[in-house]
Formats: sequence, C-alpha cells, structure tokens
Amino acid sequence: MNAPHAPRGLARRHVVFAILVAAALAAWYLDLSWRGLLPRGQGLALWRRFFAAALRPAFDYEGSWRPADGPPFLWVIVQSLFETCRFALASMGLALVFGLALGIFASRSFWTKSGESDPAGWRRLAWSGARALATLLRSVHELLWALVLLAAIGLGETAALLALTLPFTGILAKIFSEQLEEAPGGASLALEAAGSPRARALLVGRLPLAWPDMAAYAFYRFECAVRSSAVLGFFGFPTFGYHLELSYHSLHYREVWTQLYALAMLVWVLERWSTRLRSRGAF
Amino acid sequence: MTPLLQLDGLHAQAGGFPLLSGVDLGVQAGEQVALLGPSGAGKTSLLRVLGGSLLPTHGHARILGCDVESATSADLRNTRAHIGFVHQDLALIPTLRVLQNVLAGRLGRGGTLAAMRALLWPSKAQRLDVLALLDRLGIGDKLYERLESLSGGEQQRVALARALYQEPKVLLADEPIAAVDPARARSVLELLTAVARERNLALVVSLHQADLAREFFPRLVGLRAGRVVFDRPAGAISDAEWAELYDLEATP
Repeated sequence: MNAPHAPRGLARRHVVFAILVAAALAAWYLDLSWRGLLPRGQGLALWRRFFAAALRPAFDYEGSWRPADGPPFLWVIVQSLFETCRFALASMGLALVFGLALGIFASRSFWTKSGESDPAGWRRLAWSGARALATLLRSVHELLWALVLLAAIGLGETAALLALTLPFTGILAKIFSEQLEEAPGGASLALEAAGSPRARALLVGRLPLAWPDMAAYAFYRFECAVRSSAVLGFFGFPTFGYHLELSYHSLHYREVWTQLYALAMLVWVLERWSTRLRSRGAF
Repeated sequence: MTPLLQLDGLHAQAGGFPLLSGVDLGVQAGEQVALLGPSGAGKTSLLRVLGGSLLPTHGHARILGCDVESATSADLRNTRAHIGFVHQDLALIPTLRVLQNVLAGRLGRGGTLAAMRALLWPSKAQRLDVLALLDRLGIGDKLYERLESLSGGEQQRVALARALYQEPKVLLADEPIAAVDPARARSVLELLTAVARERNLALVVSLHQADLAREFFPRLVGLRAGRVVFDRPAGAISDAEWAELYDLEATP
C-alpha cells in the first residue's frame, strides 16, 4: 500500500516508455506516414472547396434547389437547434431522475449495514443487480441504442428519447454512485448514531455533500446530450444532423459551415449558462 | 434510582485492538460527568459505548433501559434516538441550511416518508421548535443561513441544537473545547452544563483541561489505556493521581 515514493515514480516512467514503444510499433505496423495526413489529387480539390466554404457560410439555400413552400434556410437551422435541445432536455430530465435513483441503489453504502464493510445476503444481490443494470445501459452507445430502437419501435420521438435516456441513465448512475461513495461520511455516521436508519442517513448526510459535484457533472452530460441529439438526425430524427446530412450530401458546403457554426454557438451558450449557474452557488 | 447509563466490566475493541478493558460506570439523570485522560485513553470509545454506537465485546451495557448485547437493531436505533451526541468534528452538513441541519436530529423518528417530509417541508410548529432552540443557544438569527457561512463557534452551537432537537435524555460531547480558544472554552462549557441542567439531562463530556473539568463538573472520571483509574468528586482526587493520569512514561 504505502510503497516508498521513488520506486513508484520509476515504475510510472517505465509505463510511459512502454506506451511510447507500443505507439511506434503500431505506427510501423499500420504503415502510417505524415504525408498520408495531407490530401492529394482529387481529395485536395475537395478539401480546398470544403475549407474555402468555411469563410463564406451560407445565409440562404445554396444552389437552385429549395424545398417546396419551405421555410427560409436560417429558420430551418433555428428550428432544428430547438428540436435538438428539446430532445436533449427531455432525455436528460428523465435520465437525471432514473440515474439518481439507480445511482443511489448502485452505491455500496446504501446496502451496507453499520458494522459491515460490504453488503451481505440479498442486499449484496440487489447491489450487484443495480450495478449490472447501470453497466448494461451505458455499455451500449446512444447511437447504437438509436439503431436498435429504430428497428424495434420505428422512427419517432419515443425512439429518439429512449436512445438518449437509456445510456445517459447508466452513465449518470455510475458517476453519481461514485460521487456519493466519495463524499465524506462523518455527517451520515452521526445521523446513524442519532438513531437514523442507514438509507435515510445516506440521503440526508451524504447526498447534499455530493450535490455540487453531481450538478457539475450533470451539466457536462447535458452538453454531451445536445451533441448526441444533433447526431441522431443522421438517422432521420428531426434534429440538427438531419439537415446537416442533407446539405453535406448535396455538396452544399457553405450550408454545412453555417450549421456547424450554429451548433458551436449553441454549445458555447449552454457552457456559459452552466458556468454562471454554478458560480452563483445555485447548487 | 436506576441509572440511565450503566456499564459493568465492559470490554470493547476495534479490529482486535482493545479500546476499553473492564470499565464500570453508572450515570444518573441530571448528573454531569467529565472524562479525562491522555489521547488514546479511550474517552471517545467510552462515549460511543454510552451512545449505543459501539457494542461491547464482553461485559454488560445498559443504556436507557436497553441491554445492548441482546437488543435488536430497531431497539438500538430507538435508544440512540434519545441520546444527543456533539461530535468533535461536529459532523454537520455544510451545504444545507441551519434549519435542515437541526431538523436532521429527528431523522430516526417515524417512517421514512414522514421523516423526509419533516426535513424538506417542516411544519410551522417544527420550525418554531428549532427557532426556540437556536434562540436559547444565541444563534436564532441564523435559522435560514447555509451552514458553511457560519463561524466555527456558531457551527458548534448548531451541532448542539441538533442533539437537543432529538429531545434526548442523555447529552454526550466529545472534546467540545479542543478547537476553541481559552476564553471561548469557558462559555462553551457554561452553555453545555446550563442546558443539561435546564432539561435534567445526564451530561458526559470528554476533556483535556483538568482545571476546567474541576471547575465545571462535580464528578470526574479518569481514563488511562482503556481503564478507569479514578471516578470521584473533583475535590477528592489527589495530586499523585493527577500526575499518574498524564504521566506518559508510567506503564499502565
């Protein structure tokens, strides 16, 4: 446990060295070269066109085609951003509730009686069950969930909502249970010493201590949800990615850049908002 | 009169390491006792046994009429609910308000839903109860403040308020003046002994300062290496006994 410091530092240096050697071997095996990073020939022309478009984002439909009786281009972007946020918010709302509940059930202290170091008997089973469920939910990526749900229940709001809610519930449950475990236990023990059952002491004595960290993590996850929700559009859901893919496949790169800038702006605004809420000590 | 707290030949240990060895102690309602002794003598362990949180390995402990060796965990919880404990590190919840911290003293009462509701949405009567307690302790104006915005001394009063809100029969305090300057120490002990007297609580306090213990407590219990070396009125302890208590060289 408490090995002297010098040998541990030495071991770490060996690990770093081993990683570097492995990276060099992998590059050799894959026949990687720096020149491969630069586009040539056909690719170079496309590359130039794509990045030149970055300087001239479109404010209207590019080219002659436009949807019949369609809304203006910028309005479509606003609308798709709104849809993106709607799915992200709704699924995060659900994931927060389920993730918090599952996170509490997946934490060791919830099932451990005073005097035990680990839960025993049926409590151990319940604890493992909650952890297994959280692992199962988060081990499948949201885009894979979307594919599975598309096949199972078809293209619709429910599928999009579940595709985000399920993995995010698993992720939040895992992180929340760890944050709960790491919160100082003194207040919780004191409440038990005052006659409170363990589960109640955990909720009142520990959860509020972990709360600020949990809120910060939930905000980060919300940003992830916005990005994932945008990407869901590639599968045909009415979020941001739907229009992005349309523009991209029509080779309307100026439209693509307008959309990318809009998405970056949205993420930036959300980031500022969460920073401000947290610095105000709202949690 | 049967004592509220009664220990007979009590042994306790943690991880095979003996904490208390053959302790006999009885404390009556309204009695005020100071535990003295060097660090590691077992003062905190003894307080935890008296609070029903540390169970004896041998011997007998009868706490508020409950035989802890044979009690069910529900009986033990019920017993603990009637013992107020002011922990050395206070063990409060810094992110909650003072009101919630005090209300948490009754978290063990009734069903889970009722207890949680009383904590999140206390009735007017409950809020007034807490306010009256805080007023008595001189921090009534802090009712809705976040705990972490209070000074150390104020936080200690919140910890005392939480213990008193339990409506305990026994009040235990672990080193309440260890982190307090000498001028404040006197007022902390005055407050502790006064509220215990008002409510006729049995009060057991662990201390390091022999002079303050003599001044405030009629009965002193000296501990050394997990054993009681004296248990007497303050005046009846000889200089030799004092010297022996804190003599680090002497073999126990």
